[in-house]
Amino acid sequence: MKQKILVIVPAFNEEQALPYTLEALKSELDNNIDILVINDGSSDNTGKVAEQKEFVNVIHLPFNMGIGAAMQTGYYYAFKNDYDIAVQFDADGQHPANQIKYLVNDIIENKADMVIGSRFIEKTEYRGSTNRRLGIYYFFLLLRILTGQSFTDPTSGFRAVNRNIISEFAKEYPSDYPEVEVLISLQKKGFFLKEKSVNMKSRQGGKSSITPIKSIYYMVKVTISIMMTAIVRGIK
Amino acid sequence: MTVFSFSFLLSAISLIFVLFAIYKKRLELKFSLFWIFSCIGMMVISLNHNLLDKISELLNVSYPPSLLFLSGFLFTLGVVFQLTQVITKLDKKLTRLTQEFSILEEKIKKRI
Repeated sequence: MKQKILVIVPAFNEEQALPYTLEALKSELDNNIDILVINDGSSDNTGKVAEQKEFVNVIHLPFNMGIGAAMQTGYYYAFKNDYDIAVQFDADGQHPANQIKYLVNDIIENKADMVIGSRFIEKTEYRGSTNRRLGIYYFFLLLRILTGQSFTDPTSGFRAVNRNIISEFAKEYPSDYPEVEVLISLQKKGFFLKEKSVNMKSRQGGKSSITPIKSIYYMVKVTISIMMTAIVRGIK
Repeated sequence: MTVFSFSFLLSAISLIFVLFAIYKKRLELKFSLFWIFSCIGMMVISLNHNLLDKISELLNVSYPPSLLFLSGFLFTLGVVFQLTQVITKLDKKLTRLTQEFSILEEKIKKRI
């Protein structure tokens, strides 16, 4: 029997990019793949735009809860509806829909519990700002010291997880900037995480949610929580 | 009136105020235990000059009443910390409740 896959698209004020993202996903649809848009209390027409596409399910959060709670809603939904695999897919059009199956493959074949799409394993088209790349490199180093594993793209939001991690996330998921944090906690719990090279584009619309002040908060918050996990669970 | 008797009076009034609020159901007993103990603790310290003097000697504090302020400050910090804990718990519950609600809403819409 084919495994049931849920593609979770968290969207906050993404009315411009979302239609393109969903159309791209549509071409990848199989009878075992469902798409779920989490409209995270958007103030624009994100919710309506998503509802217009009859091939997607839409969950509307009554107010903006942040990426962590929005993603967890998706995982919780996947858990309740017995999905075997969940894929996180950004609404802004950066993630390539045609590489979902490539990402999911390793989970179907039981080669990993989580597969992360990385922009930096091979040279790809992706060009982020210098600051962003520095931030990513900082987390790469920190995680390598604390976990012994190299995550070349720890902030990547393009990732697929199996049933065990779905149930883990349904219970507990960081409220903001969850991407880096979950890597170390999952690894310390004994899950096998793996990266695969993926070609990402620059964003197709909307704005990045990360301002300079937020990025300082991001670095500090994630660093502290990574350290705490490492201390509690033991440094490798 | 010395700072000790003033502090005792203030703590006693606070205690009565807290107990009254609990009686009127404006305050959950669960969250007000710390308040009650803080008030009683402050009252005990204010009444026992000797106790305060001894502690200040131990801690090398030259002006004992300043310890009164320190203990008051620490009790306040304790209450604030307890409140932060309560907020965190509430926040988690609210998140789960909202998620349950939104998922249920989607399910109902699909059936209609």
